[in-house]
Amino acid sequence: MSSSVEAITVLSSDGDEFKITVSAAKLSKPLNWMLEDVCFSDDCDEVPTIEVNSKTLVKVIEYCEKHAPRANSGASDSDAEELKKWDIEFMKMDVKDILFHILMAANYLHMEGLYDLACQTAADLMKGMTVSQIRKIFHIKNDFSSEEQEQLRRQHPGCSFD
Amino acid sequence: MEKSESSNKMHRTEAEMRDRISDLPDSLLLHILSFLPAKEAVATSLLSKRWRPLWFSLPTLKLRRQDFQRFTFFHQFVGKILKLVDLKAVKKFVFECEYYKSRDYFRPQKISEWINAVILDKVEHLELNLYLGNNDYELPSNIFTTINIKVLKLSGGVTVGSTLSHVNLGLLQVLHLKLVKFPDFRSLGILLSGCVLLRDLVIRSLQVDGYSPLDIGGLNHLVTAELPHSLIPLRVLSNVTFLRLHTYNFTLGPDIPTFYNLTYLKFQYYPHDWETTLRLLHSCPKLEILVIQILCSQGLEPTADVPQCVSSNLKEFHLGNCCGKIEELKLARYIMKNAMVLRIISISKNSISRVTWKNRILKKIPLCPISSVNCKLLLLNRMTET
Repeated sequence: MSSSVEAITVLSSDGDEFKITVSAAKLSKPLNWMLEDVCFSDDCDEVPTIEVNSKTLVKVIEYCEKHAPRANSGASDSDAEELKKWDIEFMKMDVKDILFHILMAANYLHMEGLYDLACQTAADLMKGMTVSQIRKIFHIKNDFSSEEQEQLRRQHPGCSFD
Repeated sequence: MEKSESSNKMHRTEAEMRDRISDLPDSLLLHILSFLPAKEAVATSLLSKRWRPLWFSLPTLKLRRQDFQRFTFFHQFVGKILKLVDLKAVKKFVFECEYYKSRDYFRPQKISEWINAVILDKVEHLELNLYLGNNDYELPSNIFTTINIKVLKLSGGVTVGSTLSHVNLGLLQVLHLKLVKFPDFRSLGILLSGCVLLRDLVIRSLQVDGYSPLDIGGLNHLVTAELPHSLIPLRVLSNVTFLRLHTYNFTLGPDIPTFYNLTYLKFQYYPHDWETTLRLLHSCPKLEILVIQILCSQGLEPTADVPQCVSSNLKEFHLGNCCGKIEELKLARYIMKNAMVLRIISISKNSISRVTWKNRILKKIPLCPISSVNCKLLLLNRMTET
C-alpha cells in the first residue's frame, strides 16, 4: 500500500460503497491486516467487502472516525471526557435492531472499544430489571415448561420470574 | 398501495419482535453479563433455556454487598456461587463489602477461602473492597505470589499481616492500594520491587508506622502514578506520563530528574517556596495539564521566571481548593499571562470561603487578560475530578 493513500473504499454486505480513512480503519484488526496485505491504490479495482450491512457500517465508520484521532495519539483528560459523552449519545439507538448488529460487527471486526461499549450498553438495559422486563426488552421467549419453572423457582428463591 | 403498506408494517413488526440477542454467540453474551453484578448475571439464567447454562462460565464475578438487602443472603450467595461456577473461567473477581453492621460478620478465614479458590485458577484481575468495621482483614500471603494476576486493587480495612519476604507478581500491571495497612516499610518496598511490569500505581492513605523513603529501583514501565510525594525517590518515577503527588511536606531535595514523558501533573501546594514548584516545572518539558490543590497558599509568589512547558505546552491549568487569597489570584494571573497555548483554566473554591472568593476571584479574575486565544475560563464552586 502506498503511504499516500488516506482513505480506502469498502463494500457493505448490501453492496454499497463506503469510504473510511486509513487511520480510522486501523481501529479494526482485520481491516488493519487488509491494509497491510491488499493493494488499495487507485489502479487496484478489487474493493473488499465487509460482512456488515450498510445501516450498521455507517455507524461503525462514524465510531472509528471519531475515535481514531485519540487512538493514534495521546489526548488529554478533557478530550477523554468529551469522548465518553459522545459514546453515550452514539449508543442511544434502537435496541431491537441496530444494537444487535453493532454487537455482531464489533465482534467480527475485532474492535475492542466498540465491543466493550456495545456490551456495556446491552448490560445497562438489563441492569435493575426483573426477568420478565428483560424478556420484554429483548423479546426473549420463555420456553421453560411450568414444571421446570417451578424447579427453578425453588433453586433461586431470591429471584422472581415476574 | 394501502395493502402493501400494511404488509410492510406487519413485516417490520415481525422483525422487531424477533429475539435477536439470544442468537449471539456464548462469548458475546458472557461479555455482556460481565458488565453486570453477579446477582443480576445469575438471574439471567431464568430468561430461557438459551440463557440457562451461561452463568456457570461467567468470566467476571462481581460480588457486592450492596446488591443484597440482607447480609445473610449475600453470604449465602457468595458461598453458593463459588461452589457452582467454573472457577477456571473466572478472569476477574471483585468482592465488595462496604456496609458493615456489627452483626453482619464474615469469618476472615471464609473470605480467605474464597480468595484462595479464585486465585488458584488463573484469575487476572482481583479487586477487594472491604470495610469490616474495627476488624481489619488480613490478606492471605499467597496473593503476593500469584503469577497470573495483572490487576490488583485493594481498599478498605485490608492489612498485610506479617512482613513480606517473597513477592512474585511478574505480570502485574495495575496496583491500587487505598487505606491498606502494612507491617513495615520494608514490606511495601519488597512488594513494589516484585512488580517489574507495573504500569499503573496508586497508593492512597497508606497505613504504616514510621516513615522512611523507599529506595527501590526498576519501575521502568510505570506510566501512571499516584502516591505520597516523598514515598519513592522521584528518579524511580521519571518515566511516567501521568503523576499525582500527595504532599505532606514538600521538600524535593536537590536531585529532581527530568520527566521527559510527563504530560499530566497534580500536586498539593503546602507552604513552601515558589522556587521548589518552579524547579519541578522546569523538569517537565512536555507538561500539558497542571493541577494544583491549594492546602495553604503561603509562599506562593510567582516570579518573572517562566518554565518553557508553561509558555509553550500547557493546555489546561486547574487550581483547586481556593479561598480567594491574594497569592491564588497572583498564581492564576501568572498562568493566564504566560501560558500561550492554554485552552482551559479552571479555578475552584474550597468548601468554606465566601466573601474573599467573591471579591477576589469572581470579580477580578474575569478582568485579567488571557494571552492565549480560545481559552475557556471556568470559575467553579467545587473541584471536579481532574
